[in-house]
Amino acid sequence: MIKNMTIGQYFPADSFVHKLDPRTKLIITFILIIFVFLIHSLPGYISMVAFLALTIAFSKISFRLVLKSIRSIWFVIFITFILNIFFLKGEEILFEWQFIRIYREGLIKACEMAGRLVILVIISSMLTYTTSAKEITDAIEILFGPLKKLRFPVHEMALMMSIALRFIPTLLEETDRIMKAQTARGASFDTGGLISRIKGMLPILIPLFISAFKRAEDLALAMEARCYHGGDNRTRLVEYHYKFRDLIAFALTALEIVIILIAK
Amino acid sequence: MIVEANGVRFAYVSDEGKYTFALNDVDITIEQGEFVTILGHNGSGKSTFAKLVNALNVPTNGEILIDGMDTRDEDNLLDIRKTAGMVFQNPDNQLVATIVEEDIAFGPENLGIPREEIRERIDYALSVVHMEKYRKHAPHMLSGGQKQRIAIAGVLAMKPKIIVFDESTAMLDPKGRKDVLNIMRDLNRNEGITIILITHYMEEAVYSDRVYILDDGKVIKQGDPVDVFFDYDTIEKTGLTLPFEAKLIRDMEKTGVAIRHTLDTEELLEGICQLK
Ligand SMILES: Nc1ncnc2c1ncn2[C@@H]1O[C@H](COP(=O)(O)OP(=O)(O)OP(=O)(O)O)[C@@H](O)[C@H]1O
Ligand SMILES: [Mg+2]
Repeated sequence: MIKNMTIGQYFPADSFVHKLDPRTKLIITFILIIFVFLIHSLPGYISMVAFLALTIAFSKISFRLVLKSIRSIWFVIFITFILNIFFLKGEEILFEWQFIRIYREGLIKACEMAGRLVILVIISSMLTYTTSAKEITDAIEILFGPLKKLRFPVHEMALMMSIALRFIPTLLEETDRIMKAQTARGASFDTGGLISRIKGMLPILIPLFISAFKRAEDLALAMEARCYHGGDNRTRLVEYHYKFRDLIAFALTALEIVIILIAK
Repeated sequence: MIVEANGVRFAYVSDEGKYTFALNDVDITIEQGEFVTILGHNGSGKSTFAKLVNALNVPTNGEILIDGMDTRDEDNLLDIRKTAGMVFQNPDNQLVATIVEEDIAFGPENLGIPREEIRERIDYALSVVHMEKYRKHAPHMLSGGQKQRIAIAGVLAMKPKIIVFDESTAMLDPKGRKDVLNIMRDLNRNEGITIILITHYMEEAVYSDRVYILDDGKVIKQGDPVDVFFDYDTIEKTGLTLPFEAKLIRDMEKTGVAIRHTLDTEELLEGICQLK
């Protein structure tokens, strides 16, 4: 059920990708996400898929897990696909039945959009699968560190993010539990029209929110008890240094960008 | 004295400015190295007291000194929290990181401890709670008892003199509860850490040198566990449930059998065997 959702989770392992500097992974993720929108040709997509396949292979993350990340947003992908295929007009009609017309251009565009979404999900889940919340936060804090001079609360933002990531599994588990409890009381979540489904979500959302606030309160207290007093004079458990493997990762990314740009 | 509460009162102030006193003239003194249990039913003020020890609350009246430091003095705040660590009830709501070692590092990082020393402290803390194997694990995959042990390690990494456990076993299964209790005892005996155990389970007081009973914000009884537990009238008033051994002895005494007061099952058995 819902607690099997894997987005945002970290799966520790001893692999090339895990050992990359989190700053490297963050920067590469950012670059890739931008460049996904610049791919417009089949060779471009193929090279991107190859790049991701390589990443997955060198991360010791099982392919099943990657599929799982896609499955958790299949609905969004599906809708995107449907909207594009039915509503985009073109010149060459591939299929016609009553008022439904599917054009070649629509089909291509639909595949492209769905493909992009899948790629985006894989890119971002590879980052979170192989990088702990702490590493991501540290990387953000270091990369955006210069903004501190402009009084931008970099440390606080980074901490907020890492705590959000930390609580995703806890809250998912809780959602699951509440759903089961409400089901046992006769609630149903997957029947009826849209309105009644949304109404059906309330008995889940309200207890979930109440508990989330309680957790936030507890956590704030626990952090204070452990001497948390903002980002001043804090040390970091891990110090980050770029290594040779980061150079390799950047080089491969550069190669990928060049391919995308040429294949345009 | 590591903890010295003199005439402490604490009031929660409502939005309308109404005062409700959760603690009334509480005097509690604890020596370095003691294992003290604070018992009381729901709403008796136990958590309120726990938060006073850690300077999460400051007394409305009276004073509380932690290792000689006044909790009302803002400058002492970090030193007090470093000296008196706290383990809370809900294991899920006190872990901040997604990896065990990163969570344990949180306290020392806040204190600005150098990196190498943090690593040493993590090793030390994990070995004390017997969780060395889980260093790189994700806490949400652990059992409740294991999560609590990580929370304890997180406190230990700050090298505290006192650890307050505020109903830290309440949400655990029997196995987890036993593990955590045993760790408390080891911390006390082997590491010399002062333990303040807050609970409403009387049987958890087995390892304690002294118990306090709180009722409606007042200390109504204090002393050696055996003496306190066999003061049946007081216990009855507080609505606490006696441990099995004490209950049995009480029932035997009601029928006129005289038997030695003890909370130890073995000793109780021996006592029963010696009965004619
Ligand atoms: N944040 C608060 N605001 C107002 N009143 C509070 C607050 N927290 C506790 N109280 C009140 O103070 C009294 C003591 O509460 P406290 O939490 O210290 O009890 P406790 O012994 O820890 O109980 P429990 O066994 O339920 O944890 C109770 O009457 C409670 O209603
Ligand atoms: Mg309490």
